[in-house]
Amino acid sequence: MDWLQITQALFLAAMMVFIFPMVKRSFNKPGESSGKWGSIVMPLIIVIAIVALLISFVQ
Amino acid sequence: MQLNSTVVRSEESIFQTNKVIKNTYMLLSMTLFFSAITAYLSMAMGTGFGMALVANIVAIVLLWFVLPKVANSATGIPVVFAFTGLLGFGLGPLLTYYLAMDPSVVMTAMGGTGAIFIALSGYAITTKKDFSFMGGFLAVGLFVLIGIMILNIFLQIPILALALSGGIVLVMSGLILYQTSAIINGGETNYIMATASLFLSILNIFTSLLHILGAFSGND
Repeated sequence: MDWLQITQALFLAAMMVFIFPMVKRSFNKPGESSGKWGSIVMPLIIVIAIVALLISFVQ
Repeated sequence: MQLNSTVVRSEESIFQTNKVIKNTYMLLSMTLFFSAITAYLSMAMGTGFGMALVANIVAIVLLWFVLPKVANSATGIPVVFAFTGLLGFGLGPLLTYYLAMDPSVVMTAMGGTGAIFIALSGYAITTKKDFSFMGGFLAVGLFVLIGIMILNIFLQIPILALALSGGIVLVMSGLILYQTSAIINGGETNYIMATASLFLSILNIFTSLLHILGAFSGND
């Protein structure tokens, strides 16, 4: 464990502290209808397909 | 009369949205080009990982504490260039490592990042769907990913690092959809903040793809 890893961990911990209020707010919001989540299926498939294609290129 | 004012307002709103989209993509392309220059300089100077970490910390400080205060003024432009330039500079050691290992991995990751960004932006712009409901999920996702990242600094598990990179690609893709839909639906009217957010997502997708492709190429 060197100072670079410790600094990196501290930096990431600071990021978590900064993001925490957003996370807390999201838990206080009412739940979203499950129908809306259907709209992200297509983009999700596109991203996974592109990553899979790229992996096949480098293998 | 009311109908006319509604139509006029709607036209103004569309005009405003198109202006934000145009300015965002223009500034984004300029900042990407600028960060490529600073990344090249960083590689030429042989910058180490320590210096890269300092550049990243300064960039994030600019994003959190300076940019929100100056985003509505002309000062926002040099600050966003400083932010993206520093992040580009921080990429130097990583690019040097992967270029020495296998230059095709860097080119493939670059092409893949472009393909993902174009596909997601195109999807959000053409469908005009509202992805604002994803905000909470993305915040929680980011929080969990950072937590696992901290854990893996100490544990050093290669498969966990790979899974993390996959998770980052998915969360950052969600952020691109979220940000683009916010611009289209009027939730984001500041092109400087929109540029900073999209730039960060693109950069994270690129570095995560580098890790994934580096691992699967068998050289990492």
